[in-house]
Amino acid sequence: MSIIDNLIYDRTQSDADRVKALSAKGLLGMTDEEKTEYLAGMKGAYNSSDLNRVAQAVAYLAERLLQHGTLAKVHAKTDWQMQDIPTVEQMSIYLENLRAIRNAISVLSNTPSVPPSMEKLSYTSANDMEKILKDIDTLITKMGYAYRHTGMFYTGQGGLIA
Amino acid sequence: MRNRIPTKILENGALRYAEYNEDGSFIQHRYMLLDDEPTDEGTPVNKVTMLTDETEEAIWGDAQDRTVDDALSAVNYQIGDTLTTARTDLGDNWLLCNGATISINDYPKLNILPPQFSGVWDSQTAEKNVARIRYVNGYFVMFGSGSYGGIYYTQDPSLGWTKMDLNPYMAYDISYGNGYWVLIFGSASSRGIYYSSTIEGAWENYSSSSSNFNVASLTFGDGYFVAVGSSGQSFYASDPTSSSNWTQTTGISTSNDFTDIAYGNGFFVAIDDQSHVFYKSSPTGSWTQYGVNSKKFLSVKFLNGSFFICSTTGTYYTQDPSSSGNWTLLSTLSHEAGQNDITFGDGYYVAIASGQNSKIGIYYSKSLTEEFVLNPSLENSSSYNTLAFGNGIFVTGSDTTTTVYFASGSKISLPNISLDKTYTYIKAK
Repeated sequence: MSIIDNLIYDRTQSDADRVKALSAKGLLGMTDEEKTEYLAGMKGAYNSSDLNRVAQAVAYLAERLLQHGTLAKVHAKTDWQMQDIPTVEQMSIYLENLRAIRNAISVLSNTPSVPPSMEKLSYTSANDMEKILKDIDTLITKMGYAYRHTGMFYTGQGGLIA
Repeated sequence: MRNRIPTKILENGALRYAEYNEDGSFIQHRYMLLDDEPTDEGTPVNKVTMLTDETEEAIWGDAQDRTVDDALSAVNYQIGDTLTTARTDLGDNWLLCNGATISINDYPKLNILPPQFSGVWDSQTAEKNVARIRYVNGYFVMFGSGSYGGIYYTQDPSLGWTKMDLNPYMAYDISYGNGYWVLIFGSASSRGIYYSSTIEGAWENYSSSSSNFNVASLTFGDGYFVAVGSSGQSFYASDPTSSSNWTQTTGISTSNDFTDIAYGNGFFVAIDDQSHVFYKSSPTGSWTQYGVNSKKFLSVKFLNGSFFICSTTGTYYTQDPSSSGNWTLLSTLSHEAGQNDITFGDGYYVAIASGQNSKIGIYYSKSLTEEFVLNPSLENSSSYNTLAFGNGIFVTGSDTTTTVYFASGSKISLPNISLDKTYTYIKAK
């Protein structure tokens, strides 16, 4: 089990709508169950827990990449609190970290792009960010499987000798 | 460097391979996993073991699609590169930059460092001021200045000089040929010849009045010793063991006082103190004379295929001394000061200049077309008047001081870099 297993990239429109609905009520208008749901960190919202999860995954993948010889320079902030108000610069670094991870190796043809900005973040963009991390983790694993070892081949060898 | 990133791969690591007919038509994909149960898995061949991004960044500042060969080429230090490190295990190809003197023969590719003679020359004190230094037949021979100045010889000045057991009133010049060392000595009224088959002795001698045998400079070429001197006197001999063997060359004006002589390219070339050049292609032949537009000739040498005449107004050179128009002023050597002597060795021309201005000192250049460089450490320190090269060593002296300087073009001084807790090495091989 790693932080990659906690990534969320299956948010839906209904998740987003649920957040909107509860937000419209306000805390004073919510039932006790709704307050609990709202404060627990809703899937359709983007909170400090999302920032920390993504940042932790970024740091984790940067380390995995380094173990495979690939350097991805990231500056992952993993201690966001609920009351924190992210600055433009902090969010710029947040996205830059994702780009560094995504650009570190060749990705799948359907691996999403990094959103250009965190302003008016949609649930699809939130999914994209974490799907990128999931894909990278998968590819690193496959990359490791494909390694040959010394003695298995010769220089200039063309095809498989089976 | 980039790792291969497969996508068609099973959870167990089995890779997809394609199976084809011999005609190239596709049959099917198969997933295969190496299943040879190795006792040793071996070293993975990937970026971690071959070229990581970190290494690429350290070398080039960024990480791209470079190969191990690129990296090895990039870190392949060239001869002369320096490396500062706390390590001390760089091997024999690296030399510590501690100012030590090394032989260029041991590290031939390190000749990009200036030769030792461009730096501080070693010095020693002679018994007398130095009138002339010759390199003859493997030995430096030094004549002390003035009466009873002494004659000294050595193969390596750093090992000291041996004083000959000869003590003439004056010793003028020495040469070697046909199995004999021949040395001109004299007094105010006589001139004579010492000769010996070895420089250590035993020397024999004979002499004559200076009016009959007035010679002071000597060379050997084409089987003959040729001596020249004052009052236009010039003699030649193949066997120096008897005064009767010397034959005087006729036809030279008695107003000409020869000061030096050299042999090379089939020519004997002599100079006088009035800017006259004399040449002949046969040792037994007559001299031909012409003038060169200069003030005062000081020495003539044959070096590296050319004759050189040093004068108070500069140095002239030619491969063919048979015409006054053949001499070229050595424009790459400052002639603000008089140039007393020049020599060649280990691929360098070295010249000495003396005078009353700031340009006196020792100059060197790898080529006659490259500007001669004044050795800063010896600038203005003395007025040198004689210079010789042999056995890989340059030696110079002055008739105004007892200090003899010597240096080697085949030896170089390593840079002297002293750092705290780290060491600087230079790639030497």
